[in-house]
Formats: sequence, C-alpha cells, structure tokens
Amino acid sequence: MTKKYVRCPWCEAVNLHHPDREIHCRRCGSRIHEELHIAFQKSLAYLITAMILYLPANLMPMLVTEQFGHPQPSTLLGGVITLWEHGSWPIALIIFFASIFIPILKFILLLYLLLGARWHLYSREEDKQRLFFITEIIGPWSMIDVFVVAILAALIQMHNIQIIPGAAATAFALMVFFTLLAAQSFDTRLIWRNEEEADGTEDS
Amino acid sequence: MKDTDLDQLIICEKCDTLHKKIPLSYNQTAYCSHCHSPLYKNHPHLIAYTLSIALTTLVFFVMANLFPIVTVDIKGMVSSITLPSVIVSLFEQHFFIVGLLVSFVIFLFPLSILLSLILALTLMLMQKGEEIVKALLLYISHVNRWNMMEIFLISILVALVKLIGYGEIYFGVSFWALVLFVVSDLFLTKDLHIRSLWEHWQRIYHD
Repeated sequence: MTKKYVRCPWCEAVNLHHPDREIHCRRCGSRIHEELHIAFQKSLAYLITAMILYLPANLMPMLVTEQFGHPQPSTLLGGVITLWEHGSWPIALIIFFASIFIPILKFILLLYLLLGARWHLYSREEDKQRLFFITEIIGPWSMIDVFVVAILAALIQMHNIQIIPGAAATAFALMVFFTLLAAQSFDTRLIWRNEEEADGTEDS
Repeated sequence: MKDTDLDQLIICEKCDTLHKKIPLSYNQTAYCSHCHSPLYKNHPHLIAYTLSIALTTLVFFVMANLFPIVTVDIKGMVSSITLPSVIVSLFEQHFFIVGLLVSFVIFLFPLSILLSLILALTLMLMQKGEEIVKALLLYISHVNRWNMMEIFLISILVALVKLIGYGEIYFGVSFWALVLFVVSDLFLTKDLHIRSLWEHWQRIYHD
C-alpha cells in the first residue's frame, strides 16, 4: 500500500502525500517535507558533524575544579566514574545515560535509518517509525550535562574553590544541537519509501 | 480529495496511523486505536482555559527568574544562583556558544512562547488578527521543541547531588517557582492544547 496522506508536524492538518517532492501544508503553509534527496543529505551532514563533535566532547575536560590554585580537570566519563565511586550511583547512571548512552544510541539509530533507506535494509516500517519517535523524545535530555556544568560553574565561585567549564562543554552543547537538527531534518518518508519499493517487487 | 474531506482525517503523531475523526461529546478525548496515544479532545472552553493557564505560567516564570534558585554554604562561604545568573556567568567565563545556546533554551524560547501564546489566545477570543494569530501559532509550534526548562530543572537536582557532602544546600523561592512553572508549562505545551488551537483557528476565521 502506498502512503496517501501526510501529517503536518506543525499544525496537525492531514495533507496529500508525495513520495519525494517538496510538500507544503495546506493549512499553515509550512514546509512539511523538503525534496527527499536534500533532506537526506542535510540530515546526514548534521549527523556527521555531531559525531565529530562527540570526540572532543569526550576527550577534553568537561569541567575544571580549582582548589587552592590547583586546577583539576575532569572529563565526562571521569565524572561518571567519580560519582560511582563516591556511591551516588543513581546520579552516575543518569549522567551516563544522558551524556554517553543517549548520544551514541541516537547516532546509531539515525545512521541506521538514513543508511537503511539508501541501501534498502528492510525492517518493519512501524518499528522504524517508533524508533524515530523515541530518538526525538530522548534527544534533548543530553543537555543535562551542559546545564549541570553551567549551574556548578555559576554556584561554586569561592575564593579557595572554583569550578570552571571545560572546552568539552562547548563541543558537547554543539553536539546536542547538531543531533537535534539531524533529527529535525530527517525525512520520515525515508522510512516509508522502502515499503513502497518492497511492495513493488512483490507485485511484479 | 477536497480540503474539507482532509479535515475529517487525523494521523497519529506517534505511529502514523490514519484515523477518521468522529464527533466527541463534552470533555471526551479520542485515542489512537493502534498505540493508544491521545489524538484530539472536545474541550468546550479551550481558549479561555488555555489563556488562564498561560497567564499562571507566566507568573511562575517571572518568579523563577527573580529570586535565588539554590544557596550553598560551604564552610561559611555562602553562594547562590538565580536563573539569569547561570546564563550570565557562562558569558563571564567566555563560554559564548554555550551561553548563547543555554540562554535560548531556558530563557528566550520559554518566555517568547508564553508571550506569543497569550497574545494569540487574546486575539482569538476577540476574533481578530487572523494572520498574526497564524504567525504566532506557527512560531510556537516551531520553537516548542527547543524549550528545555524541564531538563534544566532535573539538571539542578543532579548538580546538587554532586555537591552533597561539601556543604549545606538550601532551596530558594525560585526553585519552587521553577517546579510549578515546569508542571504548568508541560501541561500547556506537551498536552493537546496547542495542537487543538489550530482547529479553533480554522473554525474562528474560516467557517
């Protein structure tokens, strides 16, 4: 069955569908879909940018604790390990999920959805649609670590102990920003197109 | 297929299932037959109701910005933060990119969404300014996903847990205002209200 209708993500109006052209909503006038190949390239480009930024985000210090003039940098993973060792394992788990697990999960899911569309890796479209919905929901929660650094840096500014954000904070914030853009520009038609093609081969 | 026929249809946000709308009675909600997420609702006084929540949320937002969120006392050295001071200190430490991003997602977007919503609802109540209302509703639906106040709230708690053992922690007035803000903001934006406003927009200005 080919898809006949598409939902406007901005105003919910149901619009007529087209497999790869640009679609504008009949009610609110926003662009629902870009040309399919442009959306694909944009999404992939944002995703690759985010994946590159993920490296400095993990390798550079996330925050620097300066106690009596001695700077002590700590990385993302280092912070999780310290928390775990101090016995605050629930928080260690939250940070681990928000900053390490979710971004990697998002990279893998989006890469799978994008490359799956290109090289026709078939799996159930419904499952893919759900996977994409999940990536959209959990995506912004990666910002937790950036906020935590900002809060600690604003709060701990005493004369013998100071917390300063590290270079990884910038890389990490940009990484989250670009993964959100990648998810936003991802065209859900890439999920459903496979079905049409698969049906086509079944028919012939 | 004509627009009027298309208006009878609705597609589930979560699982992409196509449904035909049926009339609902007072205060009923329609759920997706496939994944059971809410689709639409018959709310008799949606505009006035949403406006009252939006105004309440604005009061909470102002309060959340004016007073200290938390205060820590580390061996006699007392320090506290307010929401704006978190953003300002990022700029002071020369983290301009992070500062810019953070100021948008926890200050400019939440505030502008609320103000646009209040203006749009007021105009809808007066049945005036079709194009302005449309532009405002579009702005809200485009920017809504970049509103990260609830994530900021959780981050405060995470940051405080990291400080346990170093000193005394006191919650300020703004922390509780922030909790109330997040609850009413989630109710306002993540529930059906904004989505249903488009239907009302169409009914008010086109029928």
